[in-house]
Amino acid sequence: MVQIFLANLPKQILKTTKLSDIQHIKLSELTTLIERVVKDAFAEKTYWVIAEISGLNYYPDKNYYFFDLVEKNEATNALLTSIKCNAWGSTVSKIRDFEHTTGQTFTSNIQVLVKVSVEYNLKYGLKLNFIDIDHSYTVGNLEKQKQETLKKLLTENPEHIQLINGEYVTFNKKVPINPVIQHIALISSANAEGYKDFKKVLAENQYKYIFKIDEYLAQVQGESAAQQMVNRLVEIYESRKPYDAVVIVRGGGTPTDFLHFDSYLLSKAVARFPIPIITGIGHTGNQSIVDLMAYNATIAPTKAAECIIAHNRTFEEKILNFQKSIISKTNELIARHQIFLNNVNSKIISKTKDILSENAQYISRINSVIVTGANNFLIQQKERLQPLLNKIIQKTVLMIDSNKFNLNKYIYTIKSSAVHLLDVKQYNLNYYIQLIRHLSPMNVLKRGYSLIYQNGKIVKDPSTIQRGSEITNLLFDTEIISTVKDKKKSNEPKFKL
Amino acid sequence: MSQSLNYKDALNELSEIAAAIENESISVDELATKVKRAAELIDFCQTKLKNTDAEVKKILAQMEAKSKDVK
Repeated sequence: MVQIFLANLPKQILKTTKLSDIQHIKLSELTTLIERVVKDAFAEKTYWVIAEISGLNYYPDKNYYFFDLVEKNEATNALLTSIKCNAWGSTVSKIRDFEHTTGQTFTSNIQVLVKVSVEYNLKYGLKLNFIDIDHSYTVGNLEKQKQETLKKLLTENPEHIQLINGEYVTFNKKVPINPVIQHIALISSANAEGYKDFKKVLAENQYKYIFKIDEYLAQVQGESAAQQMVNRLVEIYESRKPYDAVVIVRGGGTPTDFLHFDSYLLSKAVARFPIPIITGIGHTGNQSIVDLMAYNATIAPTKAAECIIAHNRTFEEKILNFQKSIISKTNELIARHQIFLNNVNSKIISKTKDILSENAQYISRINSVIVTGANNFLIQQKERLQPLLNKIIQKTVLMIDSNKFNLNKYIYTIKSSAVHLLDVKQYNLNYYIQLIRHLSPMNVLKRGYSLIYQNGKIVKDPSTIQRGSEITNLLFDTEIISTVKDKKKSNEPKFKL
Repeated sequence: MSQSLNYKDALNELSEIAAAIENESISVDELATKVKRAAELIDFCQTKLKNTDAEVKKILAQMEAKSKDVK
């Protein structure tokens, strides 16, 4: 097409000069020619082009973007084509809208679908004018990237990240959180609004909780933001300080740096971090991958602070409830015991009195029963005894009388018998006296009997008397002394009675 | 009263005595001893309860004072 234009160039502009024999024209003439050709070909025409942004420069003063649109070989990544492009004036607001909606910074190395017009400028050459950018293409791309990153996180960190019932369960989510969060490691950039908001909300909390915040400042914007935040996490871990939580905030800046929170490295570090991480990244769209990996994700720095305060308040309320319940339960318990003791006390007193009075009554009843019973018994016995007694008395009197009579009889008998006996005895005695008188040796001797003595002894055995022995015969009152002439047995029994 | 007596044991013993007295399974021989023991136990429990109550009130007051400080 250009050749056709060139062929149709008017002859008069093809001049010859003395400097050279070669026919030539001025560059401006050529570029003007190009300008015209381009203008004729591309004027009023716009194109939607898929390309990658490269070598972007932004001049905030002038609100100018300069960049290249390039296309690379998908397999080899070799540059296929490149063209300059710029955005300025009212079109820059399209870029702002894009960044806001997608969360993607308009920067180098991103694939975009842009609407451009072709322009040739005499000073700057051929370039494309940025007119508009398609959001959904980038959003789709980003979403695809995000899904790929999530997939990579799951497959490469199966021990620390799992997808359970559509929810990402990470090691960080399972780290036990302290009931009170006081010592906080804060990752933020020092000049970010979110950092100030977060600290302000914590400092001005209505419960006057005290927080100790160690700041780990990191760039949360720009190319190396993700890597810097990972480095801060490593520092926090290596500090070995007993942090209750790590808080990552971002906010107040442009929404474009949001994409760092979808970074594989940062997401992985957050998922595997041994201290609970609370995010307050401040975004309008879907949650970032870091949010999905973190212990707790809030939508803004102030919300992160409020969440921490609420967490601590929950603990305090629990304690206050314990206190309340301890107070009421204790009072209740003491009151219950008091009532119980009082009841037992009065019960024991009344029961004891009852028992004592019952027993006393019983005893007095028994007593009266015993007394009357005994009296009755005595009376009965007396009544039974009386006739016996009477009988005994009667019998006794009778017996005494009868005995008296007998006795008198005996006395009489004895008396009379005794006199008689004495008489008899006297008689007998007299007889014996008579007899004895008759038997006295004198009387015997008087009656003619003699006693023979030998040697002064009465001889009873005639054998002791020998012939010639001298014997004495006593005859009544005369002793006859004689000598034995003879001795012989007498056969005449002269004195047989 | 033995030094090792604690509220719980005292209360148990007291309940036993009260039950025994109530269902009159106590002989008059041991009644005086038991009632005396019950009185001792009640006194012990009351004293303990009063002391505990006082102590608890003190602690609760401290607790409340502290929690007010925090608020």
